[in-house]
Amino acid sequence: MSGLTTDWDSVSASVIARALFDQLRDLLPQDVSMVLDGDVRIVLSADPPGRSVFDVALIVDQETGRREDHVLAAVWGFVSSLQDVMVLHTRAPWPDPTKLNIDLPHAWFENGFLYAGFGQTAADSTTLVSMDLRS
Amino acid sequence: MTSNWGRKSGVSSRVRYRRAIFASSLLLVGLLNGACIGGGSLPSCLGAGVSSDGPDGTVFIQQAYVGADVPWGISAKDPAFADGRANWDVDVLVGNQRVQHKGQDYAPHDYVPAQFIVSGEVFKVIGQVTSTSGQAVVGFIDGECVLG
Repeated sequence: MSGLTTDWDSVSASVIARALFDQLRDLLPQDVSMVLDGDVRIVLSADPPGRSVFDVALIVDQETGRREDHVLAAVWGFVSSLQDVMVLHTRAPWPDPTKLNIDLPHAWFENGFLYAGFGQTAADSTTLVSMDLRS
Repeated sequence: MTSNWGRKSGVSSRVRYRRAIFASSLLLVGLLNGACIGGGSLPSCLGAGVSSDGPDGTVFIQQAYVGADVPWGISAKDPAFADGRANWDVDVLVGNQRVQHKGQDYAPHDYVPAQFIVSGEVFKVIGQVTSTSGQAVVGFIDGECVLG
């Protein structure tokens, strides 16, 4: 039964990587590749800018510090890297090319869920990723 | 400021000469800034930020104000590390916590948002770049400063 608490030790890098991959790959154009390489590595490829490998475990599975901070940093880091690839590839703001000012990546926890999206602030962000991390 | 760009393989006389020049310039910069070479005194990330210039490239780190996010980037000087011709493997640390990692074949840049910034901690960009065309060449990067 789910509660509002999160057992951070049970939140694995592979769960995070799978959620990011599943929820973001369909947003990309056909000439930008996103591949899940094993359990924890997501590979982005586009020409330009090239190939980028994001290893979720390198951020999440650290010996020191709080695991929830690492989870948040990993999710933020991936959406930031994805935005970087898209902007370098399309030479336009992403995810919303109609905006003059590029939206910023955000990741945040709320009521046991982890969210990620883009906006000027987390509060006004368009949510693209949500993960239920309740125990 | 601390900075260290160098090469691991194929240490030619040219590279040794560049290392010597770089070490000398670091010493001069340290003395001019009143930095304690080898003693752990680091510059602040605030204001103009840090530009750690080495023989093969430069690490840029800048923080606009106390508690603000921190943009950083790396530019390569050596054509061996041009985009598409080298693999970059770079960690970004706040204190002893890895907040970002970049593994890619073009020069990395990003920023660390304010939510991961801890004033007084050391912000560090460290890693290496390996050329993937022609003779294998490895460069090392290391730029750091104290967060405001």
